[in-house]
Amino acid sequence: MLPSTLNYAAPTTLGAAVDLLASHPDAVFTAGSYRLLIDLKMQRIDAGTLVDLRKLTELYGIASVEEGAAYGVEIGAMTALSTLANDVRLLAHYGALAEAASATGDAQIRNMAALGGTLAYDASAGDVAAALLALDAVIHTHHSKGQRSLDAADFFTSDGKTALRHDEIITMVALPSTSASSIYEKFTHPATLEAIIGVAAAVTLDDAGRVAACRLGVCGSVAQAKRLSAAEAALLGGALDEAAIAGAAASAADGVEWLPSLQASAEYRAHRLGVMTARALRRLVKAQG
Amino acid sequence: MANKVFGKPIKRKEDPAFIQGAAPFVADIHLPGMAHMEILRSPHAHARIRSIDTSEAAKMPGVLKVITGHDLVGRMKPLPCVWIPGGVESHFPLHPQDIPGAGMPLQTDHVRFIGDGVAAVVAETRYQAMDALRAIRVDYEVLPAVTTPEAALAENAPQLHDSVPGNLNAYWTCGDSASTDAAIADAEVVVELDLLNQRTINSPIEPRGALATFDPVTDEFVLYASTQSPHNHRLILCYYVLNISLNKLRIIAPNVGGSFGTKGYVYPDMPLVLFMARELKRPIKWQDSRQGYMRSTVQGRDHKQRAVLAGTRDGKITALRCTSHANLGAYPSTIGPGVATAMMGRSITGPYAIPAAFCEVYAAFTNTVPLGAQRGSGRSEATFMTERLVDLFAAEIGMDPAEVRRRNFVQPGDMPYDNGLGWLYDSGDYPELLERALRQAGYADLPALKEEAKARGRRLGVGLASFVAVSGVGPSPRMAKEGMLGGTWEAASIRCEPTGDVVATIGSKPHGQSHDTVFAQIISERLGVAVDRISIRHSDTMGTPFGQGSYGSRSFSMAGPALYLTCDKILQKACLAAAHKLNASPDEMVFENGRFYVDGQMDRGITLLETTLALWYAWDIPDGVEPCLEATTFWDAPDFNYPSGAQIALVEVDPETGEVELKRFIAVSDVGVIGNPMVMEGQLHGGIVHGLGQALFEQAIYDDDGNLISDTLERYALPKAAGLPHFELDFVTSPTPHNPLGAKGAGEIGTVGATAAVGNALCDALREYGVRHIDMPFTPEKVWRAIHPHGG
Repeated sequence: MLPSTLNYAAPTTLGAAVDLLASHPDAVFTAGSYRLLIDLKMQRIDAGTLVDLRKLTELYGIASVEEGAAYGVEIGAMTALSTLANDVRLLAHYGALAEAASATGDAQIRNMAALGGTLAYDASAGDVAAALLALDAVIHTHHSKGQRSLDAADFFTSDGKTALRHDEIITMVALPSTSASSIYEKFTHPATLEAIIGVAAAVTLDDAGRVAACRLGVCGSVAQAKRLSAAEAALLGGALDEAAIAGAAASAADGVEWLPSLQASAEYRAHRLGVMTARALRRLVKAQG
Repeated sequence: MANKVFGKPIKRKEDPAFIQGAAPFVADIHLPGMAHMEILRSPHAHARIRSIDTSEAAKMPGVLKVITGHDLVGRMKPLPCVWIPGGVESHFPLHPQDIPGAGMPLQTDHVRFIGDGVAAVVAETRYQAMDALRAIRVDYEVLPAVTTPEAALAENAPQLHDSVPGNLNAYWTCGDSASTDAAIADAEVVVELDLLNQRTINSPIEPRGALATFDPVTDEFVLYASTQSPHNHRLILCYYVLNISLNKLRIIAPNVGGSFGTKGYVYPDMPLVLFMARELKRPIKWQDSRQGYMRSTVQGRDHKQRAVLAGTRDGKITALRCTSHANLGAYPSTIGPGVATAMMGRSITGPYAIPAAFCEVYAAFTNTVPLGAQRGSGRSEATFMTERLVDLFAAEIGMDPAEVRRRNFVQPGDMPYDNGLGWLYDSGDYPELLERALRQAGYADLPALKEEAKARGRRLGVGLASFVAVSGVGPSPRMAKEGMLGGTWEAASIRCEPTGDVVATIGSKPHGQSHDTVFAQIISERLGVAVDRISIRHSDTMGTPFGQGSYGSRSFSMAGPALYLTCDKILQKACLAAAHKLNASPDEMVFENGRFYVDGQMDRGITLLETTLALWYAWDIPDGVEPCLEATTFWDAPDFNYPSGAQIALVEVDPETGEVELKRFIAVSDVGVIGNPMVMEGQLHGGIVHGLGQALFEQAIYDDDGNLISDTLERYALPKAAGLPHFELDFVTSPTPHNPLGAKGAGEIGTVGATAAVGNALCDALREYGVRHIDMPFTPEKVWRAIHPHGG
C-alpha cells in the first residue's frame, strides 16, 4: 500500500530511538532517507512509522583514536558521506573509504546520506561496503538488549541484507590504524549511479616490497559484499608485480555470487571484476611509487 | 536594415517562473471539491477478460465511483487514429464513424498490452483510489503474446484485433523497387546491414496528467491536460469520442514539462476524467506516476531494418534499399502509423543523390505499449541506418568516410532536389556543413590522436553523420496524401491595445520551446514594440485560434510565419490610418522603429501607438476601415522545410571493459533563419542529448510475455549532464523559400544525427577488431563482447 499517512518521530537519545523500534513492529529507522523514500513510493517496503535518527547528535563526526604509536578513527554513523569524502585523515590513511563515499550517488545524495544509513539500507550494494571490508572495519551498534560490535566481514549477510536486528542502530564505525594504501574502483550503473561492481583494495608492503597484508572487498550487484580471498591469497607474500596482479585478477571473481542485472551478465561482471582488481592494484603500485 | 530584436539571444521570458518553481503544471492545480481518478491496468500483455468484480472496491473508504468498460458502452466511442499510412491499404481497430479506431478507453473482454485499462476508480483522495484498485478482482485468461513485428506477422501468431488480419496494419512502400534491385544486381560493391533501431521511452520531466470539470448548469466541460495539441484534442474528444458539442469543451494545457512527441496523443484518461466529472459533477483529476507513464505512454523508434547499399569502387552510391518491420504496439496511437512509415521511409536517402532507392515498411501490431513519435522520429531511424551503411561502404572500398560523403552529396545548385522517395529538398549546403564540422574536429590531425589513445590502451574513434530532416508539417494537401486525416496549417492573431501593449494569440502550444520569447521577438521586430509589452497567449482553446499542435519541429516554422504575416496585416491597416491622420497617401508612408512617416519627411509622422489609439477611438478613421487594430492569419506552408546538418562524435573505447566515453561532439546545423540563437543552442543541446541517450543507454526491454522490464528510471537509464562533453555548435544558414521567416524546424535535428555519429565513431574505434556493427545502446558489455566474441 502506498502510505498516505506515516507516523514520524525524531528521538534525541539512542535509548528512545531503540524503544520506538522495539514497540512498533511497523517502524523503520531513517538517516538520510534517500533510498527509503524511493522504496516507500515504489511500494517496495511497508512502513507505518519513520524513526528519524538525525537528532542523535552523538552519532556525528570523525574522531582519531590512539592505538599505541598509531591512530585509528571512529566515525559516527550519522556522518554524511560528503564529510567522509573530504576528510583529510581518511584521504591520507583510508583512501578506499573516502573514494567510496565520493563515488556514491551525486553531490546532493552524498550531503544527505549517512554512513550508517547506507550500511544498513544499501548493505552489500552500497559503495562503502567494499571499502569497510578492505579496511577491516568494526561496526558498533546499539539495540534494546545492549550493544555489540561486528566485523565488517560478519555484517553483510549472504541474503543481501545485514546482521542488524529490527531495533538495532549502527552507532559508529571504527577503522583500525593501518599503514596500508587503499583505493576504490567502481563500475557505475548508468541509471541509479549505484555500483554494479565496486572493488576496494588495501595493501601493505614490507620493506622488501612484498605484500605483507592485503584485503580486497567487493560490493555492488552481488548477493553478499565480501572479501576476495582467492585474489588476496594470490598476492600475499609476493612482490606486487604484473604477474601477481594478473594472478589476483584471474581469481578475483572466485566465490562471488552475482545478482541478476539488466545491465551486465554474470560472465561480463566476473571479467570486469578482474579488470577492476588489476587496475586497483596497479593504482596502488603507482601511488606507492 | 539590421534586426534589433529578432535573431538576438535575449533571455527567455519564461524562465523566472520555471526557475522559481512558480509555474503550475496539471499536478499543481487543485480545485474545490476535486476528487481523484486512478485507472486499473492489465498486468498481462495479452489476455481475455472473463469477468471483473468491482463490488469490494466500491465499498472502500472514500470511493465515489468505480466503472468498467461495460459502463462506457453507448456512452463513449473508441479513440480514433488520425494519421494512417498514406496511399496504401491499411487495417485498424474499428470506430463507428468509419475512421480508423484506436481502442476503447477501457477494455471489456480483451486486453492487448500491460497498460491497457480495464477499470477506473474515483475517490476522495488519490491514495484511496489507488487502494481501491487493489480490491478490484479481474479474472483473466492469459493468452500468448507477441512483442516483435516479425513474430506478429508469422503464421498462426496470436491475433490482436479481429479487424486486422494477421496483425498487419499496412504494407507501405516508397521509391522504385525494380530499378533499385537492378542497380544492386549490377553494382560493383554491395554492403548489407541488419539492425534493430531499438524501442525507447521518452522521458519528459513531467509525466502526464488530466483534470476535468463539468458545469451541470451549462453542460460545459473544462479539461486541463498535459497535451501538445489542445485544439486538436478538443476536436477529437468532442466529435469522435464523447459526442459532445465542440462549444461545450474548453481545453487548457497549462505549463507542460517536456513532451518530445509523447503528449500529442489522445489517451484514455482524457475522456475518462471528462466522463467522471459529468457523472459525479465534481472536478476529477488523474495524475500519472513515472512508472505509470513508462507503461502507458507512447514509446518511440522500434524499427527492425534490413538494408542494402550499392555503389561503385570509386565511391559513388548507386542504390539504397530498406525493408523495415515497424512495431506499432497494441493499438495505433493518434498519429503513430504515419510516423512509422512515411517519416522513416522517405528519409532514407538523406543528403545524398542516390539514383535508385526503395523502402518498404511492414507496420504491425504487437502486445507492447503503442508506438508514437519521438524527437526526430523516422528521420533518426533512417539516418542511423543510412549513415552506418555509408561507413561500411567506405570501409569496403577503402575510402575515407568523409570523401565518400563528398562524392555523393546533393549539391546546393541542385535545389530544389527531388529525392525520389517523396521529399523535395528546399535548400541547403550539405558539403559546407560537413567541411565545417571536419575543420572544427581537426579531422586531419585525428590519426595522431588515435595513436596517442592507443598508447594509453584506449581506442579513439571518429564518426560522421550527415543528414536531412524534413520538418514543418506541413502543407495540408500534401499531408492528406500522406494519410493525415485533418489539416496541418497554423493560425495566429495579433491585437494592438490602446495602451501600447500587444497581445498575440496562437494555436501552437509550447512544452519547452520558448514561444513566449521568440514569437514576441518576431512581433517586436516587425512592429517596433518592446518585447516586454508583448504577450503571447496560447494553450487555452478559449480565446486562441485553432492550432494543429506542436510537433515535428513545426512551431517556429509554421506558427511563426502565421504571426509574421499577421504583422503585415496589422501594418497594412495601420498604414491606412496613419496616412489618413497625416493627410498623406498610404503609398508615401514609411514604417520604421514603431513609427510611420511620410517618405522624405521624417518629422511628419505618427507612432504605431498613436495610430492604434486613433483606430481605437475611431473618431476619425478612413472610409472602409474598421475600428481597432487586430488581425488574424491562417497559414498553410507551400511545402515542408528541410533542415540539415553534419555531426561528428569522438569516442574513446576501453577495450578491456567495453566502456565508451564520448570525448567531443560537434554539430553544424542548417536551420535556416534563427529567431533566438540562445534558444536554438538549447534546442540543439537537448536534441543531441536525446540522441546520445538512445546511442549509449536507453532501451525499452520487454520479456517474451510482453512484460515491460525497464519500467522505472532505475532500470531505464537516461543520459546525465555530468557525463557529457561540451557541445561544439556551428551554423550554416540557407533560408527556406517555403515561409516568410526563412526558418526551418530545429527541435529535432540535434537528435537526428547523434545516434549515427556515435555509432560510426564506435565502429571506427573498433575497426582493428573487425567489428562491423553493434546495435544500440552501446553498453559496455555489448561493446566488450563485440571486441571479444569468445569472452574474456
